[in-house]
Amino acid sequence: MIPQLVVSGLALGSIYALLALSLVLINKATDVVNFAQGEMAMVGTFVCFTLLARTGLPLVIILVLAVPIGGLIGIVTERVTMRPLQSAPPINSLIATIGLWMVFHHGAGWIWGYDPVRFPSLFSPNPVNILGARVAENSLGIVGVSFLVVAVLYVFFEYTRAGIAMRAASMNRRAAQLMGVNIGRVSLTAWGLATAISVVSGLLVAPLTFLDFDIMFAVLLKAFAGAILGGFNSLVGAVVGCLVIGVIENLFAAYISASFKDTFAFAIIIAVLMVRPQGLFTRQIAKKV
Amino acid sequence: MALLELSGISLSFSGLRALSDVSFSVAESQIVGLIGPNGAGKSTLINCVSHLYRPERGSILFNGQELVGRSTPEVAAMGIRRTFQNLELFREVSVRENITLGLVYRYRAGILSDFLNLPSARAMRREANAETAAIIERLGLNDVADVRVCELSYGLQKSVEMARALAGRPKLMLLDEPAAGMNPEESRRVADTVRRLRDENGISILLVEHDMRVVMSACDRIVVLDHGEKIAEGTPAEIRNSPAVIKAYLGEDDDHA
Amino acid sequence: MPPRKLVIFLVVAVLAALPFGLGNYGYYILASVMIYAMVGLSLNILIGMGGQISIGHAGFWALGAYASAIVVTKAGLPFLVGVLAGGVVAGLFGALVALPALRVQGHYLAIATLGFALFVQQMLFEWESFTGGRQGLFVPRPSLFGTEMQSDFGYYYVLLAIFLLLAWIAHNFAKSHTGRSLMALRMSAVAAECCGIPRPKHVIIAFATSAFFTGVSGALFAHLLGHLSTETFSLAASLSFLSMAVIGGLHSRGGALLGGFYLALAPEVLREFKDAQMVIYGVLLILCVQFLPGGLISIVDVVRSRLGRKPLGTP
Ligand SMILES: Nc1ncnc2c1ncn2[C@@H]1O[C@H](COP(=O)(O)OP(=O)(O)O)[C@@H](O)[C@H]1O
Ligand SMILES: [Mg+2]
Repeated sequence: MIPQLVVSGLALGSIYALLALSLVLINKATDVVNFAQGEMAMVGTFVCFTLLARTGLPLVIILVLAVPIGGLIGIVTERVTMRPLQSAPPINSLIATIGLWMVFHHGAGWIWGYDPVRFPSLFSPNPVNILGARVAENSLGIVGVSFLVVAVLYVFFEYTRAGIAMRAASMNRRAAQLMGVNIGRVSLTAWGLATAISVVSGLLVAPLTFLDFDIMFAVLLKAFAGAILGGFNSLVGAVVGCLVIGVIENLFAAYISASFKDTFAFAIIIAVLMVRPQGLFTRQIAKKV
Repeated sequence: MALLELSGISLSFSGLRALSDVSFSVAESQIVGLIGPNGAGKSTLINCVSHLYRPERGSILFNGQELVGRSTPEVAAMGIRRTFQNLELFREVSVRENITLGLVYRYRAGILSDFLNLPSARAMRREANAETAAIIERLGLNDVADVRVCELSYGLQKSVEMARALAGRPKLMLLDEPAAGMNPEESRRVADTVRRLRDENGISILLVEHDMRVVMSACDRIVVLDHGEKIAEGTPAEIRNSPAVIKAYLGEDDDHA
Repeated sequence: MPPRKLVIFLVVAVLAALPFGLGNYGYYILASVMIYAMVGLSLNILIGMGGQISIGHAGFWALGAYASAIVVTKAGLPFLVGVLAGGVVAGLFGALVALPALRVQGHYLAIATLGFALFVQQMLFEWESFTGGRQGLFVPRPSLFGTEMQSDFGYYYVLLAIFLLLAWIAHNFAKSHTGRSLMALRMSAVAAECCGIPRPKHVIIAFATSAFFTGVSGALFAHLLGHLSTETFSLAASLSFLSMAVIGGLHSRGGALLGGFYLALAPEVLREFKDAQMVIYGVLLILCVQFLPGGLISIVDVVRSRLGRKPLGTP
């Protein structure tokens, strides 16, 4: 029982990890926590759903198309809502993302209705044998796709100009600006990239339950928990944190309480913030004055 | 007994040694200069004393009491006030409000009186306002008292920060580059102010400053930091002729203008 | 009479005259305005003065509502005692939620408050023996001095009085040393702490006070509604509160009042948009932070400054 729970927990965790990566990415590049990230992912997933239903393209193609779809949603959102707030106090941007939450969440209900729809899965739920444990093919597929995204992200940050500029900006915005990094471009890239990644996470969750306008909220909460566990400014930390959350959640639901399994993320958030606010993996550095 | 006694202070940031094993002391009513090239760790040291940073090793005695392990406001309430290299003012409010906020911790009515505006809360406000007015008067800030700080010139903002620190009736003031960005005339006035703080109010001062004329004319003793280590300590005359100091400064040619 | 006092006097007079000529539904709407405006005051303290964001105020609202309902129905205590109990229970939880806020700022805190509200909602749902769980809980009408108030007409005046009392308290707080220390921490935590102002104490006060106000509002709401169920206290409620406070104006009592009107009236005005309503709220919120960051009250301030007066938003 436990190995299966762990593996499906890792699968859940890697879905959270994708959303957490989006959150951390935007936070690092622009200092904004995007509360609407989950809802943007949900809308992207609905767009993919419509595309699937209308065109009958193979699911794999849709999964690939999710990236430009998400990117576009992110870019447009950044331009329209975040750009005008660039020089305003950070709390204003935070409030704006809450406005975005409302727009995307209820907008989806308005456009696609409130009834859950079935979303086909790329992978079958049949078990396969791995090292003596029987795990669902589905879980392996999810972990695989997430791993691919993380690998692409790694290449982006290590080897591309845009990626290196983003890393510089996240370390010291002013210094990066002086060195000629275009901060507006960094923000735009971060939103595009983050939303693309988050839509992939949406496509991975949707087949597990049904697709509806509420689907990403619980995921967002767990992504927050995982990201905080990882210190909120480390991409690796966020991934590890989310994997931990996914596994704990599964074990918690199986052995302790299924009805509180969504709120347990909150308990973890509070515990981490109280005991080790800098996260498990990073050291706290005092503000420089 | 020294007023402030640092011994063996060390602190590093993600592997980078910002301070290593720094020890020196500031006596009652003494002005001690702290100099060194950019990045030597001067601001970090001031942050350790005012307890924004917590040193990893070492002890800081103030009036014989250990500071390490206390909170920032506790240290402030014990009589240590500071200014900041890059100004940390309450920018959106008036000069008057900035100064009041510097002394408000001494005038506290209970929270219930504050909610209900009871006579005790009003009395506290009256006293704080009177003291603020006196400081404004004494420092000649009357003309700008009700102007928002963000509308003032850089030089005036520095004076406001100094006034706010003074409002805390400190025994020790930590000044982080009070003359930075000033012309020679203004710098001379800063040096005068620093001496007056000591002469008239008996305040001890730890002064970080790049401008050598200010340091040499104002300080009784000078401590030199380089790469987080204390490389020299002595009277201005001794420091001027110290080979170690000359070497540290000549090694870096960009910041003793 | 000084102009500021005159303005307040006029506003109160208008508020007192509003219900005349309206029907039952109108009374109900006006009563909601007051109840929301109290939440607006609480966010005025927490966000406006303290710079601490909360997207979980529905949690405190729920605690106040249920606490009062339980105190009145199960313990048989008078209505006003219930309302006070609602405030106190919420206030205690507010102090508790502040604990993580002591070590972290801004974004993290918002996440923690969000989690808190979900937790409260879940608790109320699961704890059936006490809260009625899915069925919910019936709450008696408000009563004063032994007589039950059947009409919302009378209740509106009770609410108006309580709102004015809370607004007066919030105003005193904004002028007080404690309140100004809190604002100092918002402007520069580093500088404030170096002035001897402890952050933990003030953040706890801000949270507890804000939660107390919201708890009182929730309790009063419970008695207006007559029936409680956990759906009322969802995330949507928290977000509505935040939008209302931002759109009204976070930095003044007047802003809180305008926010209350906005939240109570917007659904009436936008009713015909049906499902698109909530989208419009979101758009309005975004437009507000972009183009009118001071909220609706700042329009009043612009007019006043044309007339050469001090803005209402400043303490
Ligand atoms: N909060 C901080 N985080 C990381 N590094 C810091 C911090 N504060 C200071 N440093 C580092 O410590 C060293 C000393 O800095 P500082 O004390 O500001 O030098 P000085 O004031 O002498 O110019 C520098 O290398 C600086 O980058
Ligand atoms: Mg410095």
